[in-house]
This record gives sequence, C-alpha cells and structure tokens, in this order.
Amino acid sequence: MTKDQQKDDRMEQAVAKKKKRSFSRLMIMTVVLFAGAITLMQLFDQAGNDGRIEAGDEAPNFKLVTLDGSTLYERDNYEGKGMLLNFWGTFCEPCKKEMPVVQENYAALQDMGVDFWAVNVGETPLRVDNFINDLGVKLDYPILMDTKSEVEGAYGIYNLPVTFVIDGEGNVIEKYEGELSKEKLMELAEKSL
Amino acid sequence: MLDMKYDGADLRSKRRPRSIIDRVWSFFASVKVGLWLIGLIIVGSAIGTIFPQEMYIPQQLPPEQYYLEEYGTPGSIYYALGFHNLYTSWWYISLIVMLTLSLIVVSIDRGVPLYKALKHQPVRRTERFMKGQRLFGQGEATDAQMDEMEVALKKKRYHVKRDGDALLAEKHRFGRWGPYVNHVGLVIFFLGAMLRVFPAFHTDTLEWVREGDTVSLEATDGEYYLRNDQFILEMYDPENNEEDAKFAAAIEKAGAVPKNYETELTLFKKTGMNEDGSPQLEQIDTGSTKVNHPFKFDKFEVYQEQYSSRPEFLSMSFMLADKQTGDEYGPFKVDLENPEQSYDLNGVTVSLKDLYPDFEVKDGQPNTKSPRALNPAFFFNVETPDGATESNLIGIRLNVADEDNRYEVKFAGTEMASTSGLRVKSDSTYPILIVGATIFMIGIVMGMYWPHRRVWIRRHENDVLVAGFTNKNPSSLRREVSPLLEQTGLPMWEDQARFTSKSENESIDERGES
Repeated sequence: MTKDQQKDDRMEQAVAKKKKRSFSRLMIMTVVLFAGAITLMQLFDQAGNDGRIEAGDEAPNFKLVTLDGSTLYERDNYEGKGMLLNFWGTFCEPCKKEMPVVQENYAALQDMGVDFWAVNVGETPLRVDNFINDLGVKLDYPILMDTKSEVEGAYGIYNLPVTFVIDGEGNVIEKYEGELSKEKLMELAEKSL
Repeated sequence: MLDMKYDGADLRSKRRPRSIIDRVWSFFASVKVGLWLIGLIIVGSAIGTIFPQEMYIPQQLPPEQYYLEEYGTPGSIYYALGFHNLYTSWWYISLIVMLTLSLIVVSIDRGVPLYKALKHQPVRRTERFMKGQRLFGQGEATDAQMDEMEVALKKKRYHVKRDGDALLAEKHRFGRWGPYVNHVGLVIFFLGAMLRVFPAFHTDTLEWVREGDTVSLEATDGEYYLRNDQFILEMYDPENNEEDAKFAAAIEKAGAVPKNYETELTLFKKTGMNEDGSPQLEQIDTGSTKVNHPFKFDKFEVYQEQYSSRPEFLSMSFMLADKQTGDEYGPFKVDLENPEQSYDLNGVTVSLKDLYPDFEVKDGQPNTKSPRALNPAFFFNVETPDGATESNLIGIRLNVADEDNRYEVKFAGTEMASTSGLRVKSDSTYPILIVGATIFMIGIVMGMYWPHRRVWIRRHENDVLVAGFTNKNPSSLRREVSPLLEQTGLPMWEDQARFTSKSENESIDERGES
C-alpha cells in the first residue's frame, strides 16, 4: 500500500465516522424534541379541555324534555341549519329581560332556519312554570328542563345567561355571555348559518 | 499550567461547526446555554409562587376572572402567561425539554471523549505535560526508589501501571463519572415530570359530592363512581368528651375547633349502560376518607379536601293544624328536588303553588337567589272541605298567612345534606421521579466524595519527574502522597498554583502524550 492510498483510506474512514456521528446526533436530538413535541401537543389538547365548552369545540349531545313534559329534544337529532343554545335561570335578572326579546324575534329566527333552545339550569318545573306565567309573555320556543344540572355540567356553565352559537354540523361557533338584545340575537343567528 | 478539564480531550462541539445538525448540537452542548436554561426555569418557578396556582383558587369563578378580580392587571398577565398552571404551561415544559436535550448532548459531548481519554491514557507522559500539572517535582532518584514508591502507592489503594521507567498511579477514576450519572438522574426525573402531563400517568380533579349523590369520577374517565354516604364534621367538644376537656381553655379562646372532616364513601364500577343512558353500577368497596388519610382504589387516591359550609335541604316536612277543632294532620313531606304538587290529608288538600329554593324578597315579590336549596320557602294553598282556599307562605322563620285562616301549616322537620369536596388523584410517575432523584443523588455523592487522583513518575534524562493531578482538593492529595515521596526519597513536589498566577497558561490544551 502506498502512502497516498493509506491517506485516502484514512480520509474515507474519517468521512464515514463523521457521517455516522451526524446521524446519531440527529437521532438523539430528534427523539428528545419529538418527545417534547408530543408532550406539548397533549398539553394544548388539555388546555382546550377544561370542562368548559368554548368556540371551536363540538357541542355535547343531550336529551332533555320540555317544561310541560310533552317533547324530548336531543341535540344531535337537530336538523335545522343553525342553533342558538341558551342557558338561563329564574334567579337571573338579565335572563328574565332577554326572554321577551327572544320571543319577539323567534319567528324571524325560524324563517332563517335557526332554532332557539332555552335550557333551564337545575330548577324545578313548578318554579319555572310559575316564573313563565308571571312573565306575561307566551313563549313559543322550547324551554328545556335540566333538573339534574347534567347538561349545565357538560357545558361547564359559570355565568348566566349564556348563549352558544352552534352550526349545522354541531360545532360551537361562539359562546356569548350576557343579555341578548335584538341586534345581538340576530347577529348570533347569522353566525350560526 | 495545563487545562485538565475533560483530561485535555478534544470536545467535538468545540470544532468548527459545519452542518445545521452540528450547529444545533453545539448550541445544546454549550454549558452557557444549559446554565441559561436552568436560570430561566428557576426564575419562572419563582414567579409562579407569587399568586396561587389554579388548583388552589376557589372554583366559583372562571380562573381568568378570578385572577383579574383578585390581583388586578398583574393577575391577568399571570394568567395569560400560564403561570397559574406553571408546571404544565407550554413554555415551562419547553424549557424542561430543552434542558433535557442540553443535558444529554453535553454528557455525550463531554463524557465520551473524557471516557476515551482516561481509558487509553498512556503511562509515560511528556515532560511538558508533567510540568504543566499543579503538583510537580523534579530531582535525582534511583529505580529502586521508584519500585518502593509503587509498593507504597499500592498500599494506599492506587492502581499502579508501569511502562519501562515510567509509573502511573490512579484511584477513584469513577468519581469523574459523577456529573454524568447525575445528568442521567436528572434526565429520568424530567422524563417523569413530562409524563405527568398525560392523564394515563397523572390525574387530579376535585369532585363535589352531596350526601346521597353518586358521581362519575372524571379522573377515572367515567370508569368509577363514588357515592357520598355521609359527611362528618366533628368539633372538639370539651363539655361532653373527657379527652377534649384537656383543651377546654384553648377551645374557649378559639371558638369552635374542628376535629375531624370525613366522608364515608361507596365505590362503584361501571359495568355497562342502561337503555336510558344511565350507567349500570356494581358496588366494589366502601370506606372513608379523612384529612391526610385518603381512600384508595385501583391507582387512585381520594382525599377529603373541602366541604360546603352551608348544607342543602333535601326535603321539608309540615303538619297541618285545624285551629277550630285542634286536630292535626300529617306530617307531609315536600321533596325539594322533585316536589309533589298536591298532598291529600284526610279530606283537606294542600297544594304546593310555588317553591323558592333560596328565598328572598325582591321588589316586593318572593323570589329565589339561586337554584340551590339553601333557604327554601313554600307557597301552599290549603283547600278546606267547605270549599275555601287559604294561602300560606312558609319558610325558615317565615310564616305569612291570614289570621282568619282555619288551617295552619306548621313546620315539622327537615332533611339536609352536606356537600363534600373530594380530590381524586393518581400519579404513576412517583417511582420514576424517585429513581431519577436517587440516581441524581448518587451522581452528586460520586462526584463529591471520590476525587480522581493520579500520580505520574518518570525518568527524564538524569532526573526523575513527579507530577500529581486531582480534580478536587489538591491539599488532600498532597497530604496523602507527599509523605510517601519523603519516605522513599523521591523528589518532593510543589503546588505550582501557589507561585504562578492562574491566567498565565490557561489556554494550553494539550493531550501531552509522548
């Protein structure tokens, strides 16, 4: 073997060794960063999953009967275009104020293909019935009774009233906390389409 | 003097970086970067203690509202940056991941060359190398003296190697691996910390359960259900309890002092679903949880953490008294969750017209403050046999009725339920954390208490050179070996750090092999 050949040989070995080293470095860094990325993804997944339904989440399904006990409403069986899902209580002043506003515009909503469901949170039918009679306005939209507060829990409700804007595919487009004015109501209805 | 860090070995990351891989590698191989990461983690952790973590704040309000209302703008920033859930905030985890990578890269980058350098170290070193050691001596000596020295060093448990007229004595080389063992421990520890993000390894939820209620446990993904059979709150009672009487003076001063918070529980496992969507439950176990004495099942622990200070009413019972005849009817019981609307009492009908679970008078009208049965009031109509209707509004310390009424509705009793706040936890990362922390400590002890010591002796021209190295505590090496040098008559070494300023030769980095 000549000296040149030896030199070439050693060069080749060095190059091969360097390649091997680069590869193992890449592997080590990839594995660690990949594990980190999975952890972070899990984290983001959980951040959106704190038990409170927000815009971007899928609307949880539920089955509730109306105040008069005559009809069962199931969220996933809804076939209209959009939906406004409202949560309210007799003890909540803005809820009381927004109800006549919703009633006035309910026909217009239905013409748009948007339904308005009002879920009462954890009260007795007796109290709700009295409350609605005292309201002095006949409500055409469904009042659903969540007597065991299960749906309230599933949606993670803190403040009342709250209205979820849900599109035809059952995705929450927006969560609006506060009293509904006519303008706000129509704006939310538009968004649900 | 020579720079003896990593035994003068060539660190790969210190070579000029070429590819992107090399550059990233060099970045993480930098001790400076590692220290910055540690610094940031410490500062972040410190800031995280300024306001309470999310798990310790009351749950009545959404956290973003709570931090804003309680602590103002700083609280709001604190929340926005994720300090409220420090250990699972994205940037904290990112820092931990980067530090983990940094520890791994640094260990490979430094540990491997050091290992190779020490494994293949020659017995015979250059004159320059030996003169570069902190402990160095030169003088005349015989081969017999060197042999004698070998025996003496072996007695001190040195491993001695000879190569012709050169000698290398070494001990506690494994102390040099301390930092790397320590890094392995840290990496395992951080891995455990990262696994805590995954619910399969770590869950932690608070469940509010009212007495008599059965709830699905979110932490178990709905597999298990717990029923609160009874919540017990005992107070120290110096009057009726002899044991407690000892503390009478202190209790008098402090007022009522709770002695025990306890929830008696029944555990169920879900075996299937009924057609109406309710779960089929199979009873597994019963037990209780007290403060610091959790109820354990599967991998979960249930801690008594909170309770609602105002018990809720489940039902109220009433008697109906006929003021004319003195007859009493009843009692009849009104279930607050699912009330009957009509009660027939021997021909007198009482109908429940309205029910206010949390009674208040608002704008002159009876109303309810909340849906919770904290202060119930009832509106009854009594239909008398002679066809009259009498109204009554009954509540706690409240009885509004017409004086001329023939019938009086009287309060007869209540059923109440407390609500217990139970923390359901599981953490399978403890063993990982303990293993990591143990290895970490072993690494520290290795590095701290076993200094690597080496002694070189060789003939150079007519003289004998003596040099010593230790990575810690040079005076102790001197104390150990100097007497041997004296005893065998070999040239005594001097501590060169005492005479030369350190900066002089700091940049010298040579393997010093001959």
